[in-house]
Amino acid sequence: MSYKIHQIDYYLPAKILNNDFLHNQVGIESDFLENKIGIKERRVAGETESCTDMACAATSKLLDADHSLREDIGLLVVCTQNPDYRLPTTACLLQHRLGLSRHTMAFDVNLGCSGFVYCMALAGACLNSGMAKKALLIMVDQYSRLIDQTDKNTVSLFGDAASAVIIGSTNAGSGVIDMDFGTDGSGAFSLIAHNSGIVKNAEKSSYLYMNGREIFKFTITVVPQSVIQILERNSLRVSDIKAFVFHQANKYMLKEIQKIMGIRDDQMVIDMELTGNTVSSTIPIALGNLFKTQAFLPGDKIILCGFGVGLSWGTILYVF
Amino acid sequence: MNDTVILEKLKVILREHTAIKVAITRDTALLSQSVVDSMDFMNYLVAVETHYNITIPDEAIASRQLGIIGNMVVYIGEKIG
Repeated sequence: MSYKIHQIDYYLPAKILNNDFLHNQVGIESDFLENKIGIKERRVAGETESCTDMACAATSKLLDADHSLREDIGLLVVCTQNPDYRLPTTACLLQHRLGLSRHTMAFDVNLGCSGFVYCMALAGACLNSGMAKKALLIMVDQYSRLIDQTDKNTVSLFGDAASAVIIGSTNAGSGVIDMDFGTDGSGAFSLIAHNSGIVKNAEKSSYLYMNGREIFKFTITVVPQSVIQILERNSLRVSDIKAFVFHQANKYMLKEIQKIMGIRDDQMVIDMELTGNTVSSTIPIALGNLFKTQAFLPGDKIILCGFGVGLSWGTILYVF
Repeated sequence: MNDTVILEKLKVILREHTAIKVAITRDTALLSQSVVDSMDFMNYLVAVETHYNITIPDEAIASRQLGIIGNMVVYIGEKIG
């Protein structure tokens, strides 16, 4: 059985952090943020707003629009690195709050920017095995809780968001056609929140640490390799792809990948101006916006690629 | 490899990986003279590391003032012997 994306929705918190504010706060030039990084503003969760609150807001419209969904969803996967509690899982809390069937298989996945692609693969495996008719994937994170508001390297990049995606069956030859995944744990300390788990280190800040140079090097190496591998395996060229929807890390990085791979401007989706890097939600948000503005015909192909914390990456070839 | 060869290679790397618009000399200070921005500087460092198969620690960038082209030439020369 093949599987595809049926619906997408997302939620952005109300509070906006714009470039002028950041300029005053940490001295980064607004021009640089807007034109080079590609971000004008990012959203920040309210003080008492939890990830389950945001996930519910992202999902409610989808469930309310189709009342059969609550029964049809047999799998709920929640991708977050900021769960409400260490236990129970956010997925269990959401099964109840969203009114999903008690027969739903529900669990969390702790991944960052590669999370959506991984969750798509997990959902596909469950759908293919007959364990579920439909899957609900929720990506939700609040990196604002992890970020030092004076750290220029991170405060300007990340935004809070939640996204919800319904996955279900489709005709053979469409939907998710091929996938490539990878992990390089040797780079785990390049993007890390120390003291956020069992291991404590008093010498390390508990705020999010990002070695921008290492992440950049990893990305411009691994993403082209993974994408090219998928293209070659399916006898495709870059020019055969209608849209490349990569994790929206920042515009500079995407432009560099674009240059390396020879991707045309009209193929490359850059959509982070009003959201920032929303971690695992960047691909669903970009896809949701893309589906509203661009018509895809049967046979059109897109490439999804998530990459980041882990270090971890995943690429999907998707056919309409 | 002599200094001149390294300098010429750095010029090529800067042209290919940054939006640099000025002529490069040994005295050019990439960051303090705002010749490139922080993202282009990062890209330049990655390209240098990749080309010469070396690692440039953050501490060395500050202590050796590697934003100055002449200092980078000397640093690379030491690293690659």
